[in-house]
Amino acid sequence: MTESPDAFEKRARAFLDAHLPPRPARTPSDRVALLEEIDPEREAGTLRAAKRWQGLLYDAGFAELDGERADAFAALLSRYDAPDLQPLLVGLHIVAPAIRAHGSDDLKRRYLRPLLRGELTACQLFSEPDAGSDLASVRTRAVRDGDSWVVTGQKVWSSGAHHADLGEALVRTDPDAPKHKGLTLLLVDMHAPGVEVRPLRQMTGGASFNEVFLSEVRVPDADRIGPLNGGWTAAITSLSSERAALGGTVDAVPPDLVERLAEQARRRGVLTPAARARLGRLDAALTAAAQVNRSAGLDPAAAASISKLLVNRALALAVEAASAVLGPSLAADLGDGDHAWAEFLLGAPALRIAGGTDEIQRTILAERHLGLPRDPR
Amino acid sequence: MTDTASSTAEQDAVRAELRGLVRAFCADHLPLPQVRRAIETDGTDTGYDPALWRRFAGLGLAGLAVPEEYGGAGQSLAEAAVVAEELGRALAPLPYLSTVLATSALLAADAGVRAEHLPGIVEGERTATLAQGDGVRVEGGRLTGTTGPAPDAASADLVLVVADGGLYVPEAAERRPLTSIDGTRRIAALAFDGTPARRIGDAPDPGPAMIVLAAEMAGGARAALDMAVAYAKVREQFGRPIGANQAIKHLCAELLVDVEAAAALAAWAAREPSARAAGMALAYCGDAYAHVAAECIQIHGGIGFTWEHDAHLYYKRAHASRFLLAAPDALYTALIP
Repeated sequence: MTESPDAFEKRARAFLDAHLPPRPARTPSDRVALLEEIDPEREAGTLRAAKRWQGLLYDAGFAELDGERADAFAALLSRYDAPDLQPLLVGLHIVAPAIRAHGSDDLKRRYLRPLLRGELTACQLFSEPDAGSDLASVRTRAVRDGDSWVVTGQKVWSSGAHHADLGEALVRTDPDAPKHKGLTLLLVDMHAPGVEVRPLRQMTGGASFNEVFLSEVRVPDADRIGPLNGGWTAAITSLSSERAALGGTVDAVPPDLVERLAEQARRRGVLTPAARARLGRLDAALTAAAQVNRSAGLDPAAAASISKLLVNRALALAVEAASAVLGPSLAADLGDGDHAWAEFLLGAPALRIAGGTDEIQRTILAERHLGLPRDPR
Repeated sequence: MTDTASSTAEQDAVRAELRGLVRAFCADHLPLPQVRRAIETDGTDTGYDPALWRRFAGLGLAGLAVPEEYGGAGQSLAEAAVVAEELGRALAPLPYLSTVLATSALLAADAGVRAEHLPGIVEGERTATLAQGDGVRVEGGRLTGTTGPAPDAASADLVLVVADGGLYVPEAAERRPLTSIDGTRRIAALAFDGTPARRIGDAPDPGPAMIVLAAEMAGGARAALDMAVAYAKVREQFGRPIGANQAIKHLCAELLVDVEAAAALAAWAAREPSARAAGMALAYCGDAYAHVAAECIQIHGGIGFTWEHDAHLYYKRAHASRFLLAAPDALYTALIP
């Protein structure tokens, strides 16, 4: 009935051999990006490849593995040149879990499988210009009209909104209720009239996120996730999944970051004992960020917040190490190929903000997991 | 074929039960006022209650990772680490680390040596420790020089010495108790002057003891955090608990990150032992413990700096322990070849 780890590995290897070429050797000038940027030229191809690959994974039973098998599969996968699933991650790890936990049977039947197979892509429509850390203060209004809602407002920081089929929108359905109690979660058709998506240019010069303008967009009530005015609870599920996806996989961090920094230092003759100790600390912080998610007895929500904070401690060490090793090549393109690391330097600040700022994570840990007094809200 | 998921769940259940057992033992026999007795002496005693150690061993806890044929429980390092974490949490003055040092070294020795020494140690009838003899010469089967500090080396019935790539049992040793900032663990150096010694094997793998000490420090860090958080909830200034201020509550959250990261690394190293995992866990847990214990004092303010308060026990245990088996910087450096 159950498959042994060896049998699983054999089956996984056969599957990967059949579908993917081996991973090419790394070169020092490979990208070291922390953020995926919107690239209109390459995007259509990337999205197509991601959808096809996710479909294969899903149909072969490798899309949703438990802890140990997921690790074993990820270890094998790292040896192959696999399509980047980045464009699908919001749908897979954020929107699908919310639908699974709070959606009606009808909603699950219509959307869960297409999302998990990568047929449909999704984005979050949560933050607004005036609702960042204080997410429950969103102002986007949804007004009932027969069997539908008419939605109007502005959303921001929506990754993947420009290619998304679905948007998971947190909207205000009862303006008179206390702020947490008047919110509802709706699944918006991103191709519907009144949806306008504009990429948001960020400090890296590129764009990883969008602004989304909603002007009287009609959403059927059948596409509501969870109860009317019960959107806050459903949104929390999404936020916890997001934290787990962001911190749990430590996915944002290039997997061979430590080795690559050590290689650079060695090449430049600056791999001193002090530099090695610094990289060793980075190695430990990254390993801890991954292992915290496997801690027996630790609440997964706490683990996700802790893991995110650990990743950001690690990134601070990595930026310090990169500055020390690469020096001026980090600041300017000196033609040595090392300026690729500037992308890493410039992306790092985003990870302390995205998915709930580090300060919000600390508040969550202090209040929910240590039982310290709540902030005024 | 065993289902990996359910066997992991079973292992987690076994470890949770073990944790409960040790926690109850420490709560019954080693509450902090009892622990403090160890620091209120002149430091020349064993530093622990031998009868209590025999009782602990009688529960099968002294030789958890020792095979059953030598009287042990035949469990893995992961179970031994869970016990260490709880003992660290309680600051238990018991010769657990020294016992792990000695038994893990003996397990790599010849079969005859194992059968001779292990059962008595595991049963708690005899105590043992291991000292690193970096400064000890071996000439013609005789040891000369002084070892580094080793836990319980003044009182252990059996002392093992690592010197010149080998593991030795000296016929005798001059015990030199050392004054430690940490009164809850006695340390001593061993001095030799042409002392005959029997070579019983190669230098043992330091990994198991490093991982056990890492787990112990993770447990200590957790206790210091619990103490700090409990105080932040009840200590009032400006008309409200100090833990209502983000300066304090965010600090507590950061300490929780240290504690959980340390515990996760120690548990990982214990489940999947390797030189790399042992070094990483020991260095990281030492850093985390020192940091949490220091901030625990700060969160208490002036009262935390007094002798009467227990906060300094963690601070001292942290700083004494993190250098006991290896220097953190050397461990971090070794991670990057």
